[in-house]
Amino acid sequence: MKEIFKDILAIDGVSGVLLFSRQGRVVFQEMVLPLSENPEQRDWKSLTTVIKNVTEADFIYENGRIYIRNSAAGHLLVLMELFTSVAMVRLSCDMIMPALNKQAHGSKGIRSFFKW
Amino acid sequence: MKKILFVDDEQQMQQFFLEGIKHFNVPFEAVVADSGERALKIVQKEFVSVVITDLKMPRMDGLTLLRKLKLGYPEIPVIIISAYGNDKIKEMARKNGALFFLEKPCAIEKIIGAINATLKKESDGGSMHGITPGMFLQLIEMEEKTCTVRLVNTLTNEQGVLFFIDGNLCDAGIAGSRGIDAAYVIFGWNNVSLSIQNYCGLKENRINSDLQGILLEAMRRKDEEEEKENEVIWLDTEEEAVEEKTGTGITHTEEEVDLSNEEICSLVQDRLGRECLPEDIVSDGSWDSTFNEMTRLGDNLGTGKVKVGFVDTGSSHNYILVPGRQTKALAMNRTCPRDKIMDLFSR
Repeated sequence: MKEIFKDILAIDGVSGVLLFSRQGRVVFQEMVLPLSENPEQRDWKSLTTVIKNVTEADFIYENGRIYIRNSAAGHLLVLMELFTSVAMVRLSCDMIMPALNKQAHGSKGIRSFFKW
Repeated sequence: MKKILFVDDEQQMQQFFLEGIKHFNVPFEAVVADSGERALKIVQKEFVSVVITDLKMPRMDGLTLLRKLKLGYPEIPVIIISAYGNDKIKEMARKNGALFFLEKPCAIEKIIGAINATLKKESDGGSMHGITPGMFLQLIEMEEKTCTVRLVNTLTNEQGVLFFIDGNLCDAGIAGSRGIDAAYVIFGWNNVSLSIQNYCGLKENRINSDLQGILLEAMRRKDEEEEKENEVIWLDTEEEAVEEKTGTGITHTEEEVDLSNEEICSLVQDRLGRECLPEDIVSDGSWDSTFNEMTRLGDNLGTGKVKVGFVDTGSSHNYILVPGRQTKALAMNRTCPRDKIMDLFSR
């Protein structure tokens, strides 16, 4: 899984990648710097419920930016600095989508890992 | 809209074509040229989909024009129309790449039929809408396809062409530019409609560059361009803020501002033009939960308060979420440049 996200994580200003299952569980996370509170410890069901029909979202905050893409494997979330090239992040997400979808639809073992 | 170039030194023939197509609901617009030289100048500056040319013309004849087009612009199909249609000439035209040979006098219906058949061939490999060229490139590369891809930037209606041989990008073209520079422009387009023709008239690789490298450079150039544009918008805003301060003695803090629908529309129209005006503005609380959840997420990830959001649900509109005492969701036409709108509201 880490291999799939390596290009996104290599983009200047990207500070982390999270993959939420549709049940609101963090199934993968890779952060450049550790967060003060581990997102895995929270239940994100209410978040994944409101974004369940969202194919793509992009939110600008005071101190960062969050880009969200829906995939067969769940909701992919890219955390980045404000200066980061979103076009580059979008493009990289486009490129990993086939691999991510393949993972989700792949072996039973991986499928069960995502727990639909 | 597709552009058809009609080349004939006789003004009467030009008029016959221009007037003739007016009686039909044709999916193209026509331009005329009275010589091969003029035709080449037009294709150099504009994106032409089909060229129809007479054979016998002073200075540059139709066959020479055909050869030059096939060499420099292999994506442009050529139809020959001539009164000198003996077998030898027809064979020469075919060997040089002409798609149809029509004999004068020729009914306008027949010419339109040939144009439509030619345009149809442009998408014999299928067509796709609303995708980024980068994503598509990966598919072509993976499938090692040999094809000609014609693209339309859905935002600006600019047209472009990419040539692939065995999955390698070999050449690119837009109006006024060919080669790697045209590829940088095309790969900077966010949203395109494209048609694939399972044929590539190009015989050599004119780009010879790593695809990933082209993509990265295209993104870098695009970012640079957007930064420049944003600087201009930002400077304008600063000037107006100073103006407002000196005029009324009041400055607004971000917290105090809760833009009305009229103010939102006026801001968008002033900065980005009428075509970017929201088609609807919703503030009925239906987007509050999305906004609250994104705020909760931001708190957890340490990004602070939400300034603006963009949401694509796959419906006919994209939504820009603007915070305030009531969350406003701006229903935007999908062709509006979302980066610019987000940048506008985030400031």
